[in-house]
Amino acid sequence: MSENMSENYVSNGDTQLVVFKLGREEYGVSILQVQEIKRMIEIARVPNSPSYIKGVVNLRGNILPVIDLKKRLGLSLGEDTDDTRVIIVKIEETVVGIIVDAVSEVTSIDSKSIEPPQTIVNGVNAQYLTGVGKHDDRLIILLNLEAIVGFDQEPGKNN
Amino acid sequence: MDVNQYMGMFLEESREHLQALNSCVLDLENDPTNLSLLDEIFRSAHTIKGMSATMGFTSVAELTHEMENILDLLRKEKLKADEAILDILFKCIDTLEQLVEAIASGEEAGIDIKPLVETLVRLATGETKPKEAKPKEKETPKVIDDAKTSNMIIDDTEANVINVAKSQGICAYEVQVTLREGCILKSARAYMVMNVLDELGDVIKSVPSADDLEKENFALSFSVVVLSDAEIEKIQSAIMSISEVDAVTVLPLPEIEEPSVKEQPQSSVNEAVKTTQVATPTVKASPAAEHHDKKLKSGQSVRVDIDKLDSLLNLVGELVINKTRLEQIGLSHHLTDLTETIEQMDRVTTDLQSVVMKVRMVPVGQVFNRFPRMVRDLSRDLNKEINLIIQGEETELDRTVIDEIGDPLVHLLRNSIDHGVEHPADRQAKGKNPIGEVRLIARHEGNNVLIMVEDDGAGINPDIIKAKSVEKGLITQAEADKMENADAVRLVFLPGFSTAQTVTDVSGRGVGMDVVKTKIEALGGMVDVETKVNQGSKFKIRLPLTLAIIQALLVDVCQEIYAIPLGSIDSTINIKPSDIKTIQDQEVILLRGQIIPIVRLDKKLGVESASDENKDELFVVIVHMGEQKAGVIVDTLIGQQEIVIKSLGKLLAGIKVLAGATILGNGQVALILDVGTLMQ
Repeated sequence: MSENMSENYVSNGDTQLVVFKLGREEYGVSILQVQEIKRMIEIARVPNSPSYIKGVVNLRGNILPVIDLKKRLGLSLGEDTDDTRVIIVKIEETVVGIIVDAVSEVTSIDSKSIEPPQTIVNGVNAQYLTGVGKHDDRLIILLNLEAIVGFDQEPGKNN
Repeated sequence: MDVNQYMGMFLEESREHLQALNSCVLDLENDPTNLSLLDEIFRSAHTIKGMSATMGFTSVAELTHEMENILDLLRKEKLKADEAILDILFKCIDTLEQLVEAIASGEEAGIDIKPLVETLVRLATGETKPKEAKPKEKETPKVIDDAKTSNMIIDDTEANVINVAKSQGICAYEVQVTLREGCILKSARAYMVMNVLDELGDVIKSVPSADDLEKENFALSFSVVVLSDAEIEKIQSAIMSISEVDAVTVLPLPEIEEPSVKEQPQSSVNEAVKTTQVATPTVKASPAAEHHDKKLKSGQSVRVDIDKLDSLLNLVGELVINKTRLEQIGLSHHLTDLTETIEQMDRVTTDLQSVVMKVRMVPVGQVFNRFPRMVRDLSRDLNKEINLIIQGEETELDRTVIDEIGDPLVHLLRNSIDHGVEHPADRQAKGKNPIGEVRLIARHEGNNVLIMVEDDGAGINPDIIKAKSVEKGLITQAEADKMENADAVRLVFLPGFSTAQTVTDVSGRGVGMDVVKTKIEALGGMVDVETKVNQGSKFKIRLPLTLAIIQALLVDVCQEIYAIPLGSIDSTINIKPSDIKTIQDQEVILLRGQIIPIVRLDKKLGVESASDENKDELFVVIVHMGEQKAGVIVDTLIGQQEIVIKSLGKLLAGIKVLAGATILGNGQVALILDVGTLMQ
């Protein structure tokens, strides 16, 4: 899976990222995995689902789950604001939405400037990360979406 | 030509035409003199022949060709549609079906059509032999070549037409057209000529046939017999105006004296074969008429991929959501024009939605129409006389259900015929009509479709069933003694009840009934049986209209909307909080003398509604799963609605209590409750 990820992030030495904010930190996912970015939409809660799953939404007639990313990563939670966005990503043929505080930009960073993650970054478990990228003076934390979506876990058991 | 892209179409259409052939030949059996039936059979056979020839499936084409010969003789009443002939026709249809299925599975070889073709040829010749005695009536075999002389062969029917026309002052001409050497699009030119002639009069025959003209199966010239009141010159100049036409000869056809003497003494076999071959194309010579009839017959339909329908459904859903948004905007701006337009749009989208839903439905007749044939064969094999009555074939079911329902029905019908209906002698002894009656009835019943297989046969004797079940160890003797008759009869649905042995012993049912039951239940349906000894049995299948769209009751729990499938709802009632009693810590209510356990939906869904004390009444939805019932307490009832079931996806699969999700008219997602797990 991690090989897959590095493929996602590294193309021609440069990696195109969608950069977004969670709290005060900046995170990035490969633009190749992103389908679209939407304003906050109405989410129907799904009972008995893992707590990090905020619910399901209707995206043009398709029902897809939405993950509360801050909850998933164990970060402190905040209120939704005008900047809150849902990034629709496609992972292994499954489309899910992830809730982020704000989407800042699309940028490309040199793959050489990506460092493997330490065990804990900002209190986030390293299994959800693929690395930390340096871009100018900023640090962009690169996410391992496969692990975040949690295909390796039994659904409904993570309450 | 790459034919693969047409493969699907070819297979679908072939199957359809074979189906049509089957039912027409069946009708013909009952009404052997009906010429319009023959025409229909001929058309279907001809279409199959044309398609298969184009696709390069020679054996199909060859067989249909020989079939056409026989059909043509039938149509000309030179052959009588007796049992032997019909049997052969059925055999042909069966073989064609096999051939088509073989093609579908990707292997054309393996089926030998030679014996059948030989039989057909023999039939054709055998029956034409007697006609040698008066060869004058015979049409002469026509060799396709350049038409330099008037060698048009006119058969009896055509002669008739020509003579009738003449009596009305319309002349028959033979038009010989020669195309310029090197003409590239010969068929197109021929088509133009035909068109011009069609405008001037009626084309009744062409040599070579219209089909061959279309396929460019001719050298440079062809001849056409046309009935027209136009002068020779007019016809000539009209045709000459078409480019690349080299020469046109228009010869008035002489009055055809009956009989026209144009026979060619040949060996009888040869002649007969050729005769039929000539006879065949003549029918095709009026493509316009044929086309017209077909249009009337087959209705106007288009084949659409089901995936496209699904995405259409999704898009309509999107439209509805946007409409709702527009409504909100209209409200906040108080623009009368806008509100009016939105109201219009509302109506249109609602209609659109229901139409799209209905597009997925197909009449159950698509499955039923193969049964008459099956019943015929079966009753002949078993030496029984059976009258199959089909009702309600227009009842619509979702495509997904239709595809699955065929096999269980075959099973039930076979059972009814094999074991239900007695032999004619036995029936007479019982004072019944020697002809057994099997009814296949479909109709809507509420949210379900009810399909019944009913016979007036021997019925099922519950005592024998009980004895057999005890013997097989399915139930104990004590259980059997206590068992009601109706329940005993239902034992036939138990797996393990049926073996070939029991079939004869129990004078009846049991051939794979458990298979039928399993299949029906997998479709979300139910099967039941009613029977009376010596009066017959009735098998009832209840099916949901569709697997994708269901009727549901929308309920509100803590401002969240959930859908409960209507199929599992008994009723909704209002109760007072004080009506709830507890038995061993389980909350229950008493409904019409029945103790029904209470399920608090809010707790099941991990939310907390306001407590009962603050409410005067509670809404309870009584749901059932099999024999079990439960009362589900909800905050409010919103209403009944048709919903499209959507999966929650891989990530949320396996969550208990939920069966899926749906999108409401306003774009909101509502989750569908799984009554089965809710009750546990």
